[in-house]
Amino acid sequence: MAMNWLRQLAAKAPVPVYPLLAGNLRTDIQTMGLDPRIEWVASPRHARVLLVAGELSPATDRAFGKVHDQLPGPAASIWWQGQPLDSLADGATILDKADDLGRVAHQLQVDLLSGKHRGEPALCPDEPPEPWQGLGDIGHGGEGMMGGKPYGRSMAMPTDDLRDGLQLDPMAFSLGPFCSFLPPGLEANVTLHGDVVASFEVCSTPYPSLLPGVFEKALEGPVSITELELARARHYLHQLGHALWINQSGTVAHAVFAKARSLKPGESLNKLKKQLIYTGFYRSAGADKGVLGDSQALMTGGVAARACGRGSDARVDDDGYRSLGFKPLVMDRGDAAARWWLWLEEAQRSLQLAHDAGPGHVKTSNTRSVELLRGASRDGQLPEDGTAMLEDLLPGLEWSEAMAVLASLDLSAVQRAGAGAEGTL
Amino acid sequence: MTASLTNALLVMAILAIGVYLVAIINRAWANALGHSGAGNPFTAPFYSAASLWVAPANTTEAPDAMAWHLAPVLYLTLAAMGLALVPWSQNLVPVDLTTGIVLWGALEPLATVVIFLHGWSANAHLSMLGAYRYVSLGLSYLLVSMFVLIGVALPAESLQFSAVVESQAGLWNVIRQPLGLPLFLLVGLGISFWGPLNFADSNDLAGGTSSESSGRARLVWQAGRAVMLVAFSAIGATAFLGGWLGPVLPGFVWMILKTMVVLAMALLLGQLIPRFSPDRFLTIAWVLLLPLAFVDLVWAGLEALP
Repeated sequence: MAMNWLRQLAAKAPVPVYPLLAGNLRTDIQTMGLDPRIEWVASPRHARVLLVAGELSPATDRAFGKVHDQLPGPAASIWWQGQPLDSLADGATILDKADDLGRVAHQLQVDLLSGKHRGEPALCPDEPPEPWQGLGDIGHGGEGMMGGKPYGRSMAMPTDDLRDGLQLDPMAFSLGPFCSFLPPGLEANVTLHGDVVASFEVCSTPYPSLLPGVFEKALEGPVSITELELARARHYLHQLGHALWINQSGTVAHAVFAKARSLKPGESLNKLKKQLIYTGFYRSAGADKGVLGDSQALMTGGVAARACGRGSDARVDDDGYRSLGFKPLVMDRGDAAARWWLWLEEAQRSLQLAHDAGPGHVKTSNTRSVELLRGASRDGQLPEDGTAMLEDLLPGLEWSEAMAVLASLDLSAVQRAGAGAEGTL
Repeated sequence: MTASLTNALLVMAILAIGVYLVAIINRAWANALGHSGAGNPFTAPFYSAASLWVAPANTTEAPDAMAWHLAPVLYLTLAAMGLALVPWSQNLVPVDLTTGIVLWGALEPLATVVIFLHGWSANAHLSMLGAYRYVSLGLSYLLVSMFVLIGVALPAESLQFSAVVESQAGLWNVIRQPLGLPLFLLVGLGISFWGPLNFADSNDLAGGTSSESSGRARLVWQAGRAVMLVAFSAIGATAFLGGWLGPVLPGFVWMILKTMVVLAMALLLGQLIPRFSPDRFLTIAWVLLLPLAFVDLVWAGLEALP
C-alpha cells in the first residue's frame, strides 16, 4: 500500500519501542538500544511497537494486557526469548537474534504506517476498569466534599504529612511489574504525600538475575580472570548507565552503554570519571540518600556492602586474584552516590585486572567462594532477593530521590541458568 | 491590519525556525557527547516530527478532555507570545509594548498554570505527580526571573525591551550586572523544564505530565517547550547581551547569533547536567538564587543612580 510523503518521512524516524521485560534482561535491552533504528521510550503511550522480552507467566497476563493496550493503536508486538500469548500468536513477530531488532522493528513500523499491518487486537475489555461508583448530589461518592470511591479509586482524605505535620492528601497507586523505571518484575503499592513516599509495599519481587556464562563456569572450575573481569566491568557500567538515565542524563547513559559494549582490558575510564564529577552526577537527585544499615548492607552484599565500609570481597580468597595483588575497594559513606562511585571504580579496576591477568594466563582457583556481580557465592549459596528492604529504605524520600536510590541498588536474587550455559552478557 | 498580519507571520516563522534550531542543536550536542542514535541533526527532526504527527492519538480513563487537549496549545501560545516581545532589530519588533517586561512576567505564572493543567487533566498518577512537582517549584523561578528583569529595566528607565537594548549601547548588561544572565538562564531551563530542571516530564515519572500523551498532542507539547526555551534565549540576549547591537553586521544577524549562543549553552547544560533533587533545588532557589537576585537588583539600582 502506498504511503503519503508524511508517512514516508515518519518511516525514517527511529521506531519508538516500549521494552516490556518479562525477565531480568535490562542489560541486553540497554545494548539493543544502541541500534539507531530504534528508540526506547519510557511510557507505552509513546510507543508504536512493544518488545516483549522474556517468557510471560500466567500470573502477569492482566498486567501485560494493561501495558499492551496502552500503546495507541494500531500498534504491534515483537516477541524475544519467549512465546507469544495465544490471543496474539496469529501473525506474531518473533525475534530470533537481538541484533535483528532494528531491522524487524523498522519493517513493522513501515507496515503499520502503510496499513499493511492493521495492529493487534486489544486484550482488555473496552469498558472502564474502575467503573463510576458515585453517590450523592455531585456523584463524588462520599460524604461532604471528600472521601468516596469515584471510579473505584479512593478519593484523597487529608492525613498528617510526613515532613511538617500539615494535613495533606495522600495519593495511593500501584506500579509494576513492567514499569520502565523499576527493576523488571518489581510490583509495589505506593502511597505518596505530595511527592514524598509515605509507604512502599513490595507486592512481587524482581525477576532473578541469571548469571552470565563466565560466572557460571567460575562456579564449576577455573576460568580466565580477564574474561570474568571484563563481564564484571560491563555489568557495573550498565548499572551506572541506568542510574544516569533515571537522573535525566540520557545522552551520557547512551555513551556509557556504548562504551560497555566494546570494553578492552586496561582501558581507562578517566574521561567518564571526570565528566561525572564535573557535571555534578554525584550531587544529583538522591545521591546523598539511601544509606544502608548494617543488616541491609550484609543482605545486599557486593558493591553496596563495600560502599558501606564492609570490605567483604570473595576475590581475596582466590590465589589467582592474590597473585595480581588484589585488594577490595571500600568506601564508608554508604549512600547512593557511594554506590555509583564504586561501580565506576570497580569497573576501572576490573579492566586493570583483566589487563594484568593477560589473555587466559591467570585463572581463578577457588570455586567455593566466588565474587559474583551482586555479592558472593559461598559453598554454592547464591545471593537471595533483598527487595523487602525497600519498604524501610524508601519512605520519607522525595519521589526522584527514591527512584535514584532504587537505581543505585541491585537487589534481585541471583540464579544459575545452568552449568556452562551462555549468559546474557 | 497589514502590519499586524506581517508581525503574526514573523512570529510564526520564528516559532517554526526556533523549534527546528532547538532540535538541530540538541542533536548536535548529543552526537558530540557520544549518542550514536541521535541521527543527522538536520534531517532527523523532520522524521521525528512526522512520526509524532502521524502517530495515533490516545485517551485515558475519564480525562478532563478539553483541558488535556488545550494545555499543549496554550503552552505553545504562551511561548509564541513571549517570542512576539523580542526586538530582533531596531525596526523589527513584532510587539513593542512599553510594558513588555510586565507582560513577560505575566507569561511565566500562566505557564505554571498550563503545565499543571496538562499533568492534572490526564487523570493519571505519574502525570499528576509531574504537575504537582512543577507547581511546588514554580514560584521560586518566577521571583528570580522578575528581580533580574527589573534589574535591566532600571538603567533603561523603561519596561520596554527595545529601550533595554538601547540602554546597553555603552556597556552590555552581562558586564554591568554579571549575575543576571546565569540566573535568567536557570529560570529558562526551569520554565521549559529542560535537563537538570526537568522535574515535570522526567524519566523517573515515565515522562511525567506528558506520560499519557501521544501523537500530535505530544508533538505540540514538545514544540511548546522548545519555543519557550527559544523565547527565553532571545529575551536573555535582549536583556543582557545587547540585543541587536553590534558592529559591521546588520542588527538582526547579531540578535540571531546572540540568541543561538544562549540557546546552545542552555541545551548543552540540559545534555550534561543531571537532574537535581526537587527538594534540594527548592532550598537552593530560596536560600541562594533569590538572595543573589536581590543582590543583582540592588547592584543594578546603585549602578543606575545618577
